[in-house]
Amino acid sequence: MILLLAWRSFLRQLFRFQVILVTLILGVAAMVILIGVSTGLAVALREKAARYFVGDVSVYSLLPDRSVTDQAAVLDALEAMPGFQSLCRRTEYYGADSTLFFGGDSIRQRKLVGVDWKIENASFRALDWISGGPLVPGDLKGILVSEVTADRLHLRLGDEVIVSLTTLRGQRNSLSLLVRGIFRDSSFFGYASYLDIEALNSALGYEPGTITAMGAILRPDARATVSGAWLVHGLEGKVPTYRLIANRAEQTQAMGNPEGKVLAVMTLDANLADINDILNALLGVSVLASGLFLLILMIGVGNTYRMIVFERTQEIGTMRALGVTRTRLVGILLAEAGVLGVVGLIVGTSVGEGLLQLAALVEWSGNSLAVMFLNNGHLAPLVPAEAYGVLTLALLLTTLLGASLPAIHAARLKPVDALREGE
Amino acid sequence: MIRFFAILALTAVIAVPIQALEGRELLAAIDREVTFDKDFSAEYTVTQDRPGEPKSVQTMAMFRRDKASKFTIVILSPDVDKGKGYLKVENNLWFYDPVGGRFTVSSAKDRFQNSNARNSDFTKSNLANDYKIVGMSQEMLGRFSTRVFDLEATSDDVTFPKARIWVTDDNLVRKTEDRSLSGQLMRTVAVPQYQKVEDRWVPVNMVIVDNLRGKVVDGKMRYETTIIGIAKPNLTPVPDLTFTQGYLERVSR
Repeated sequence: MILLLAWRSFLRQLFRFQVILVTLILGVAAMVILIGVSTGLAVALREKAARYFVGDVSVYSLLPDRSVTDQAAVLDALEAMPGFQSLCRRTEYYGADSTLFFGGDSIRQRKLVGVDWKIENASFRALDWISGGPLVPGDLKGILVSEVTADRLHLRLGDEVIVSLTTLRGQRNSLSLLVRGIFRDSSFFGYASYLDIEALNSALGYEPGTITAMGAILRPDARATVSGAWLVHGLEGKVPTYRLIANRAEQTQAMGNPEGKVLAVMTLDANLADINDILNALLGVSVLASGLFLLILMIGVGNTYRMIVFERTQEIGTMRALGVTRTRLVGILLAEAGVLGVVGLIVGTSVGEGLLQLAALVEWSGNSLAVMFLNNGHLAPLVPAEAYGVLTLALLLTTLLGASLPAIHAARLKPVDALREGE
Repeated sequence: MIRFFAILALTAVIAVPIQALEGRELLAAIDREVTFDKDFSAEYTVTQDRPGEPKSVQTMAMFRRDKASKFTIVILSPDVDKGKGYLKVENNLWFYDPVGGRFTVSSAKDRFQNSNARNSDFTKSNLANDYKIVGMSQEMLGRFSTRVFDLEATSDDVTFPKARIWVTDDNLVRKTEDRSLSGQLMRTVAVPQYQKVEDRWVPVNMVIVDNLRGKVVDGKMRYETTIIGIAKPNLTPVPDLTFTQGYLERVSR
């Protein structure tokens, strides 16, 4: 009954709510955009990073030749790990001489990655492909290069590149490989080339079947640090395993001094510690901006309601004279504020979502830094359900709090005074 | 019949080491021609030619003591590199930069001063210890009649695990193709002319062509080239002090 009254009153008084409603709509839209963009950027970054860093949780060898010896134990532990979704099997080469040559030009690669395409082909399909696509299992002659590399070497699909590297025994070796795919990636992830794991193993002098890292992509709801800690615990009984590595500096330290351990476990968060700091700072600014907005909104709603109560004093006096209790009057006014909040929320969310969808249509890949946070050159905005829940609660609370003081003030008016003041 | 196969097998068992020994002898003979029992010093000029860029020239003083596997190189010009140097003592190689006055460990496999030469190009020839012959043929190389040896490294310390060398009857290497383990041609070294120093030989110049780095100029592929010229060869004794870090520090002051 109160809600119906509030709704009818809201519609009747709509001209009085115009300014605060527009502010509310714009504010909600801005918050939805802020959350959608920052979450989308973070998710896209994590997806790329997970592909680059051998999954959300990865197991590295600490042995001098960097080979993972007890693969079966690692595989069992990874598959049993909470949140496990899919597997990555890699051989990685970080040598200072990992260079690609074509037509007299050369470019150094940060790493050469041998991938088990039987299990990772699908994951690589999600890369932003300029031409070609992921390798098929057993393609020992193919290589995937980034746009940065292709541009520098003037490479096109089917060109034969020479890949230079050094074997485990320190011999200079090379591979002649055909470019099967060119992908777009930021400079951070773009100086890596991907080839077949057995092609790289053979060139480096590893036995067939060797890997230097094994990892897992986790389900979106899983937490990498929890899964990582579980994995360390699960592996400890079977293979000497280093404590969960917290950042890249600790990884370097573990590789230099493994303390008798054979394996190390590292999460994506540890790999991205530096970038996470930037994202956390961005998130902090977003939270601060949202908090400020809500505070301004609360003051705005309070001022608007003070004006509304002032303009509706006679109406309030009449309602009180007709027997509406103080509590009920406060309830009606707060319900009106609630309706204002809900309408602002629905319209603001729709506007925000609409603008996000429009932004997603725009091609942003011209900016090399932005590429790191994009999905196929486009923004992939994402507003999690929890964010909507928090936003709804925060907004309703803000409008109700803002309206509460004027509503209580209105309820305290005596009917006679109110009717006189209203004349 | 059994006796025939037994003799055949025995012949094969004996023949393989003999062939290996002969190969080693051949390579040792090549090494001997360019290795000095006495101290050796000379002035080296390294000219780096990168297509589309101006040539850069470095001159340096080289001191070699082959019997102790030592050398010292002091860069004399240009001014920006003056005083830099290299010191090799057995398997240890250091690079000295007077700016900062620090020695950094280098490797024989590293590029020499960002040129197409490798540090190993300045050490004494050690083919007999580093390589074995896996193939042999005859070929005309320009006006030279040469034996061509396909070599495979017996040591992991060499710069290139495979090589093909063209050797004239006087046991001088006229051309080398350096290859990676997979057989990819990495660079070609030509020695068109030698100069005699007492009873041994020193190249007048070495032309090193990087077969991977270059640029298309006027529609034609031109590879990066380094020419090492060797002048004023000398066999007078070099003081022991020359082959020390202290010497490099002192001459750069």
